[in-house]
Amino acid sequence: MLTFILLTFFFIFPPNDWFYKWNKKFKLDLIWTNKGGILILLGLLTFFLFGLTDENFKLIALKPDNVPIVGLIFLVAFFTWLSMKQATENDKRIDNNEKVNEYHDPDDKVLTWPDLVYIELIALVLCTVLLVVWSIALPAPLEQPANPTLSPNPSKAPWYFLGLQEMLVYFDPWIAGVLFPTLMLIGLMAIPYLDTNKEGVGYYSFKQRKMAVSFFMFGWLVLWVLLIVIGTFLRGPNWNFFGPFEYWDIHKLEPLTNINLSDYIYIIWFRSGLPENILLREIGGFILILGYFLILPPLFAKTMLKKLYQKLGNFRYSVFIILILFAMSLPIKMYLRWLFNLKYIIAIPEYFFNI
Amino acid sequence: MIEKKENIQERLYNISNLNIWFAISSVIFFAVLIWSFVDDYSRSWKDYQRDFRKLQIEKTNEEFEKATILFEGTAEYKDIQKRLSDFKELYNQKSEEITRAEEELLKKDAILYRVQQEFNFSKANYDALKYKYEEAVTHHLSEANELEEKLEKIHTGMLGDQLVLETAQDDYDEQSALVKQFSKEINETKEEKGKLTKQATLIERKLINLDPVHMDFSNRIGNVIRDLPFIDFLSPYYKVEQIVVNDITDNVNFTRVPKVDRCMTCHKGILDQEFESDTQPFKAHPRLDLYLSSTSPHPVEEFGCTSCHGGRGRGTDFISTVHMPSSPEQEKEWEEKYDWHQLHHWDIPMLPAQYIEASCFKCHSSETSIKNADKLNLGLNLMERTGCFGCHKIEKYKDRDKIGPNLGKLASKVTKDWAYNWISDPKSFRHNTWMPRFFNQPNNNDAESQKRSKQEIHSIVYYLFEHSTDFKMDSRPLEGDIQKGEILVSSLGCFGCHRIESDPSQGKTTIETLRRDHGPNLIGIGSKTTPDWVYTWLKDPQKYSASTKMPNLRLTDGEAADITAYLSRLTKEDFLEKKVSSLDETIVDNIVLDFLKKMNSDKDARIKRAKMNLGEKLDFNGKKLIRMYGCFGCHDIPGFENDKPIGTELTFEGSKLVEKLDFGFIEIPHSREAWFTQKLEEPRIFDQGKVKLPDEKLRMPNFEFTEIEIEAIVTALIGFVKAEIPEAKKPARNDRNLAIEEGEKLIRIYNCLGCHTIDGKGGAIRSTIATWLGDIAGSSSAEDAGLVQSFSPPILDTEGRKVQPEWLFDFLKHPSMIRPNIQVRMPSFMMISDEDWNKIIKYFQVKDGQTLVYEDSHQVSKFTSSFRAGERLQELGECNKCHFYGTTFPTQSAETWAPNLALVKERLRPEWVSAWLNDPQEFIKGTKMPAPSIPTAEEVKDPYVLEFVGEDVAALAGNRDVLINGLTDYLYTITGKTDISQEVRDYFNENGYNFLKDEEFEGTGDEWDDVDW
Repeated sequence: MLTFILLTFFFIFPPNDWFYKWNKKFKLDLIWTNKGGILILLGLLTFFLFGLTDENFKLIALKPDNVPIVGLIFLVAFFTWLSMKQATENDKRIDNNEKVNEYHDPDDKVLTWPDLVYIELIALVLCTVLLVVWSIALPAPLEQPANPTLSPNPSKAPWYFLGLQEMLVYFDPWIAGVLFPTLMLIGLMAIPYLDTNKEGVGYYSFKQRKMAVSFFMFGWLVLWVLLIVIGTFLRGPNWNFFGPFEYWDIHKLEPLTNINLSDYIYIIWFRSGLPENILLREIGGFILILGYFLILPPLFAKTMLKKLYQKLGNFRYSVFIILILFAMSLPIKMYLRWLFNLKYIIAIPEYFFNI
Repeated sequence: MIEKKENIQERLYNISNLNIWFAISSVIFFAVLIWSFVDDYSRSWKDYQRDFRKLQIEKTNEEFEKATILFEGTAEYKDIQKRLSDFKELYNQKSEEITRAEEELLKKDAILYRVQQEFNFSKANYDALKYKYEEAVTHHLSEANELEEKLEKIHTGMLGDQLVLETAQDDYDEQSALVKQFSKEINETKEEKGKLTKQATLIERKLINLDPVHMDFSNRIGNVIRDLPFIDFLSPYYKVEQIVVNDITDNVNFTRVPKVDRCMTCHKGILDQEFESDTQPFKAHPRLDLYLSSTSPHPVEEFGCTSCHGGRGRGTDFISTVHMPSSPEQEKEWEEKYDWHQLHHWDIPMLPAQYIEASCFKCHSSETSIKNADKLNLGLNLMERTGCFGCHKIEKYKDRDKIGPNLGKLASKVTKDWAYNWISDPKSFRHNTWMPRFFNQPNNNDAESQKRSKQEIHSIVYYLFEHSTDFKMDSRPLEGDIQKGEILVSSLGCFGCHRIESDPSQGKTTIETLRRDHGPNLIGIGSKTTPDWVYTWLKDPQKYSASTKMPNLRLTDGEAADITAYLSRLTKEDFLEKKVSSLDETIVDNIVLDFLKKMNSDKDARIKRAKMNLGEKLDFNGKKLIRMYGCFGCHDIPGFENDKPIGTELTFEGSKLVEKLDFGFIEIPHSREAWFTQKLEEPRIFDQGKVKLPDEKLRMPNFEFTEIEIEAIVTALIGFVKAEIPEAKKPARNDRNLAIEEGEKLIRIYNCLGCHTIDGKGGAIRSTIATWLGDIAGSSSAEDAGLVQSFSPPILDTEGRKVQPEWLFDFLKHPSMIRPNIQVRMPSFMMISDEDWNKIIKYFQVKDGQTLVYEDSHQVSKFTSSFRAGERLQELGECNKCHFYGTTFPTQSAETWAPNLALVKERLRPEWVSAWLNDPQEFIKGTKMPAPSIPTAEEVKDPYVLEFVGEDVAALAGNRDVLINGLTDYLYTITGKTDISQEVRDYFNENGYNFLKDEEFEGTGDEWDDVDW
């Protein structure tokens, strides 16, 4: 499923003209119409209604802790659809040299009261109603006193950190727990400096900010929301992966024997032992990592992202591309793990340096 | 108008629409808010309390009616009622007169008040003047004389006032007496009525608090208001009732918190006997004499509820308190009724009703027999008997001897084939053996495993015989007499610990039946071992196995030979005919390889194996297998002296988290009880569906327990909890309790209660004594409970008060004859150390409140009148009819023979003898000893009686204690031979046991003629 999402993602949110061409060809922008929206809603509803007939699915989807995540799936889908629908409409208007939907005469202003505050008040009341009803209908579960000799299985982070916990499966704690979160914050802070596009302010548009929207959507939908959903519904006891209708059997075992890149190189390909020297041993990994960060950026600058490079200039392009490469490293590492049982690309446990 | 229109245009949204939206959302918000309050206010426990109140009102009203009926119909009550109404009438008639009198009284009261005031004024003046005058006199002032005159005058005035006051007072009193007179009689009658209706009034007062019908208007309003939301924090009627026990704590892992039990919030009738037959949750506790009530040993304020029952005491609804059903039916019922499911977030769920005795063990773990906990006791006894502690370390049973026989000299006892068949299926030889079955179990009964099992057994047998040391057996002097042997076995006391019962349908296991399972059931013994071995064993069990609990019965060679002859005839031919499968060296090789590979590489293992011959292989396998199956847990086996038990420690098994039990693929409820039960039913079952190598499989053998046994053992297991109970809540660890615990433990280990009876427990042997009596003297003898008792081992109640400790010690070390006519023989327990004997003696003493170890011998003066009276009483009582006086035989037949009175001096304690003579039945119910007839003062007035009892007795007649003491004194002067066993034996050799025989029943008596006593 992840593969499907990854493969189709950039066709749905095309970052450049090439993808955009295909997007048009498959008429994928039809998703962002009313019909498309209803279809998504129906699809999701059918899945959940069908799923609820299954005992195991029901047990997990209706657990008071997980109800917000079910809500999250619907809400994220809805708002993504809504924004993209508006963006698509605006794009058409821009193509026809019309003004965007949200356009207003700069002099045409409304009063804070009642047009803003009154609506906020009503929204406030209704939100409170929702929270009260929720708290009565799904009381917070009272669990047993914490026991150091008996940790709950699975032990899950709060839902908003499940993405981080998922990363821990593939990376060492210093990367997944320190480096990546730091980069995320830096990345978010860097957005205003990297994205200097003045178009699309105050209204939704896709065409005017293809690159920005698609990369943000990738980070948000795939690297964050999707991992939360997986962490909530598909990770069971012992953090094993369970299908949505599978019974969470505590005794389930998955083969988890993984090997390092150096083992691949020296033992499987060269059929010799591992060299004593650490640097020599891990040279393959170093080359790969350095190549990833040093060769790919200029390569992209020359080819796919030529325009972007010219627009951003050396420094900003470097920051941008490094951030993107870090973001891409997560799915890459996931696939390496799944396909080749690769544990570490660089493995120096002697100095706790594993990538 | 125009302005308004513009206004609307200026706004983005239609303001009236917004108003409507705001109104709607506010209404919803309000409704939701109300809902939240309702949700918070409605609690299931309040419904229970309301129901309980109804029940209580109903009951109290009933009670009230009952109490009312008690007096309502009576003539007395009618009379009072009539008098009261008469008074009322009279009162009405006289009302004018009374009113007048009362008015007069009022007036007189006013006068009295005024006069009183005047007197007070003049007295104050007088006092002030008096002070002035005194001062003047002291300081010799000139005005002293003048003051004196004034004082005199005022004094006279004051006296006058006083007179007036007194008159007014009298006047007032007179008038008020007049008024009171009218109501005096009526008050008296009312008081009378009050006395009559006291009970009903008390109940009515209770009703006024309880039943709105009986309340006055304002209370009725209060009754409604006090429980309204918001106000109900002040003084609600319906409230959470909780008990806080500060020193018993709940462990919440990082800290301990005092126990807070809110159970009584719903179980409101739990403390009140009145509700004993109501349904839950209002039912009273079934044992208020033992629990909860303030007079019981476990008052609720000190112990709470969940300290015994488990569950979440702070919970106030059915599910959050973790109620646990005691049967699948109840579970189903609860699911329908309460939507019940087990709350998994609490580690200590409530104990299902059938296991509740488990909780007793928390505090009473050091006791051998816990009072009123029969199931728990049975479970503990079963664990002890089956030797669970052989493989599983259990703190309570540490340092216990192994329960199985010593296998160090096995070769002399059984054959290899017998051992093979025994190990492969012990119950096919003896249906009630405690030896469990290791083979042909669910996880090793496939064809492959069966083949392997056979070779495993061969290896074990080989090892045992290879390491068996020689044992030189005594040779029998003669072939014994089978029939004599049979009678000896049934009369000497063998059945205190053994049975000979081939019928497997034994009935329910109880502690009493376990006593007779102390030693093995002797069926088939002739097929198991040789007569020589049996003979040698009987003569001196310790010779074969120093650690055996089998005592020495001091058998003569002839007796031993007779018993041997009888026992050897008890055979089980079909067992001997069972085939022993042939030795298969390939499989033996595989087993060797499997074991070798644990420590060696495949190549090394093969090399090592190649160096072994078949014997070495079998020996090697045998040793590994004995270690693997833990045979040494129950048997002493050479080579395993220092091995540690192979099973999980069970000391705190009851506290083990359910999550740590492996349920495998077996679908049973995830609870400790269910797991333990399943494990005991089928110990290997959790291997079902798993792929395992032979040495990875579960190893616990199958004991084939019955359902009752399993429930008892599970009860005990659940009781093995880790609980931090403050010392104050446990039974006191004082000298008395410790001595009793030590004693009871030894009495249990050596199975004293197999023969003896203490506190109504034990005496398992009695039914066999009855059978024996029936055999030798006819069925009527067997049914005579008194006769059975007189031929049974003694009841040991009051033993501590009864005998002198030095004598008891001597007797226990070297048992000798006490009751001359009984056949049952106190055995010599050679293996009990002096230390343990002392503990046993101390137990008897402490139990009877005796604290002295050394006591002076009883001093008797032969010249007192009481002594002479005692001597006479002894003649009158004809003690010599039944008792021996040294070697002087009793005058009556052997049936009623009683202990030698020459023994009294060294054996008995005088205080006990006197008490015993006063009323023997009080000490030993059903004893044949009659109480001596002691004449009263009245009786000796009759000259005939006087002459009969003699002067000495008559002089003290009426003084019962003195006379009995005199008799006691006399008994202490009886001299003669104390050990008369030889004389008695000679007598029986000559006369046999004919005295017991019914006339129509003859035959067996003669055989006693040459019994070698």
